[in-house]
Amino acid sequence: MIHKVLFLLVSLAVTSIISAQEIEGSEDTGTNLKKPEFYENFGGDFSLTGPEGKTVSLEDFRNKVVLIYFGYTFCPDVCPITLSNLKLLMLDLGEKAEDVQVIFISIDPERDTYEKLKDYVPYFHPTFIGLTGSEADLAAVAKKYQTFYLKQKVESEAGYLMAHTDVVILVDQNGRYRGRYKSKYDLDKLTTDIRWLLESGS
Amino acid sequence: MKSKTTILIITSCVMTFFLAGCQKNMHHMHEAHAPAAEVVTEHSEHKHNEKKIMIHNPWVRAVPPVSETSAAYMMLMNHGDKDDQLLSVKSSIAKVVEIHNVKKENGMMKMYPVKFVGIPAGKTQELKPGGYHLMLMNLSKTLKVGEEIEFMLHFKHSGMVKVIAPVKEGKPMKHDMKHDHD
Repeated sequence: MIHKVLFLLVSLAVTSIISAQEIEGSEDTGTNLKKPEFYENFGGDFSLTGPEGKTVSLEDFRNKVVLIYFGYTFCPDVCPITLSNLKLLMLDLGEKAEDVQVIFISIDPERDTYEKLKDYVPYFHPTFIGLTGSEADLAAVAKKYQTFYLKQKVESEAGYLMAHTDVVILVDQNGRYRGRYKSKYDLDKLTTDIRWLLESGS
Repeated sequence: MKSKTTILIITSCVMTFFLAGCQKNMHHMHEAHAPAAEVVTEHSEHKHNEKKIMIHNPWVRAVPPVSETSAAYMMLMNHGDKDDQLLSVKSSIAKVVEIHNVKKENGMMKMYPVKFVGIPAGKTQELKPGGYHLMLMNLSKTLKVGEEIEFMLHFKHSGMVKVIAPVKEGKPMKHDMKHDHD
């Protein structure tokens, strides 16, 4: 219980800092490309389980711009909305989309096996991949990327639902964390930042 | 010969009578159809009088075939002068249909079931991405774009209202964003 409260307090504090950054960041919506900030304390390499049960590491995508989203397949609204939006973003980028990798990390390992993610995630775009892992591994990756989730029992046939941070995280071609974007509002900014990274090389 | 003629006359009389009867019967059948149609009209008028809820732009989100869940959205317009509530929904597409809402809590998006959705008199309540939606669980079949899914909505005052919703790809959120700012 104390752990939960502590977790909530910490997540509240961190998310308020992050929201402040998001607000500052979203002011820049001009058409000129601007260098995305570095966030030295966030992000970093990780390894999780991908399609076919094989280990997939962030390092595997060096030289690509990586977009990471934490969600779960049982989610009927927020998660498919984001994945559909990322599909549109990929279509927007045209040929440049080849240099962009979308990674969907499930924060619901109880329901989402790697087989299920393999069937679910590429529906939105054939290049998208879904990763999962043990609860401990997922918690460690989420912490690195300053995203939060909470399993919540609800009075629903669903049994439980996952509350989770709804942001797309931008990682550059060198595996460095370069920003977070609210999946509902900041997609234009995300697209311009991706273009900047693709044009500048990192 | 005379008796034969008599038989013929009698026969034709019987035939005529029988045919007339048939025609009469057919007429009856026709009449039976007409009132049935009237019943429908009466019924829909009745519906119109009692049911002040009108539903616009219903749609169901197309999801991967492996998905256990999807969501349905629509605009509920209350043309009456009495507040109403959407209490429950049924559809053959999903074993369970619940009314859910989404809110941001502690920086996280949280989905949660609600007992009903209120539709104030003279107002529109929108079930939309990122807000109130019908949570469809245990889908009975794959949702294919263009298919039409039937829902039965149960309102507190307006009773049952049938809705046919097409399956669509999720709309880009940019439009919804503009909508939010309207």
